[in-house]
Amino acid sequence: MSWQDLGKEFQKLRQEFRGSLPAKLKRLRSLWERIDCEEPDADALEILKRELHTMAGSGGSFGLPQISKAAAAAEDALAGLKEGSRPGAKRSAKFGALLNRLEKA
Amino acid sequence: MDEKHVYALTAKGSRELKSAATSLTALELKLLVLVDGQSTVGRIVKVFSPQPKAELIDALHKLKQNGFLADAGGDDDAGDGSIEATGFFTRPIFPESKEAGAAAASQSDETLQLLRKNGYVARIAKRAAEERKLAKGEKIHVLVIEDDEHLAKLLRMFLVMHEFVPRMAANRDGITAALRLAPKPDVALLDVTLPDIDGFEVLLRMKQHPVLKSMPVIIMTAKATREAVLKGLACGADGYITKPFDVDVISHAVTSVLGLK
Repeated sequence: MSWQDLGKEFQKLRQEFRGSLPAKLKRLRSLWERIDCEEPDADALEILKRELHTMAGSGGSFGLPQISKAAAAAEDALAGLKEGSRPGAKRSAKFGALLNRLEKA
Repeated sequence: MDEKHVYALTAKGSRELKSAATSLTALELKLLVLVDGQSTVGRIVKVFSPQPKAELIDALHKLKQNGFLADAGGDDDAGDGSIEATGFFTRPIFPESKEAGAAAASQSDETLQLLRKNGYVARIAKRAAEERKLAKGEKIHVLVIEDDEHLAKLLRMFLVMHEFVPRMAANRDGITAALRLAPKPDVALLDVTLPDIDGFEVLLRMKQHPVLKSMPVIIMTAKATREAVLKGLACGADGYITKPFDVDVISHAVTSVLGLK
C-alpha cells in the first residue's frame, strides 16, 4: 500500500465514521430517554458516558474535532449525575441541547 | 526552597510532554505532569508523600536547570502545558485559581471554554534504554486494544503501512485470546475505556505478569486529566497519549519505547 493509497483509505474510513454518526446519535438519544424518565436505568448512564467518551476520543482522530468537542461537553454535562437518579429539568435541557449540537457538528 | 514557589512549564517542557519520546525519569515525568503554573511546590510535594522532599526538590531544580520548567510568570516563552487546537478537556489535579476561572468564563464559545479551562494534552513515550536493531525480515508485533471499531481500523491500517504487525483486541476475551497467540507482542497500545474491563486494570495485570511485564505499554485514551496520566505512569505505562491523536504520534511512540531508529 502506498502513502497515496493510505490517504484514500483514511478518507474512506473518515466517511465511514461520519456515516456511523446518525446511528450513534440515535443510540445516545435512546440511552438518554432511559435515564431521563420516571425510573432511570442505572446501566444506561454508564453506557452513555462510555459512548460519549469514545466519541470524544475518536472524532478528532478522523479530522472532526467538532465531534470531539461536542461529545466531551455532553460527557461533562453528565458529571455528578448518580446512577439510577433522575436528572433535573436544568440538566435535562442542557444535555438535550448538547445532543442537538452534536447532531449539527 | 520556598514551598509557596510556583513553577510553570516552559515551551521545552510542554514539547517534552507532547513529543512521544522522552528520556526523563519516571519521577521527573510525574513532576512535569503536575506542574501547571498555579500549584505551589508545597502542594506538588504533598502528592508524592511519603517520597523524601529533598529528592523531589532536587528533581524540580534539575528540570528547571535543563529548561523544562521556569518560575511561574517569569518566562515569556512559557508553554501552556495544556491546550492546543486538537486538545482537551477534563479536570486538572488541583482546582484552578479564581482569576483563571474568570478569564475562562469570558470566552464566548462554551465548549472552547471547557477545553481551555480543563484541557490537558499528553504525548508521553519513554525512550528505551537500549537501541534495538531489527534482524532482516524481523517485524514488530503490536497489540492494539481498542473498542472503537473505526479507530481500531484506522490504527490497523496505519500500523500495516509502517510495516508493523498489528493484533487487535476490543474487550477482555479479545485481550486474553490475543495474548495467547505467539509470538508475544513487542508492544501494546491500550485504550483505557473498554466495555467490560478497565484499561488500568489490564495494565496492572500485564505489569504483574512474569512474561508480559517487560512488554512496553502505551496508553491511548481520552482520559486526559493529570490524575489519569499520573495513574497510568504509576501503573507502569511506558507511554501516555491523549485522544484524539494524529496517527503519526503512535508510530513515533512505538519506535521510541522499543528503541528503534
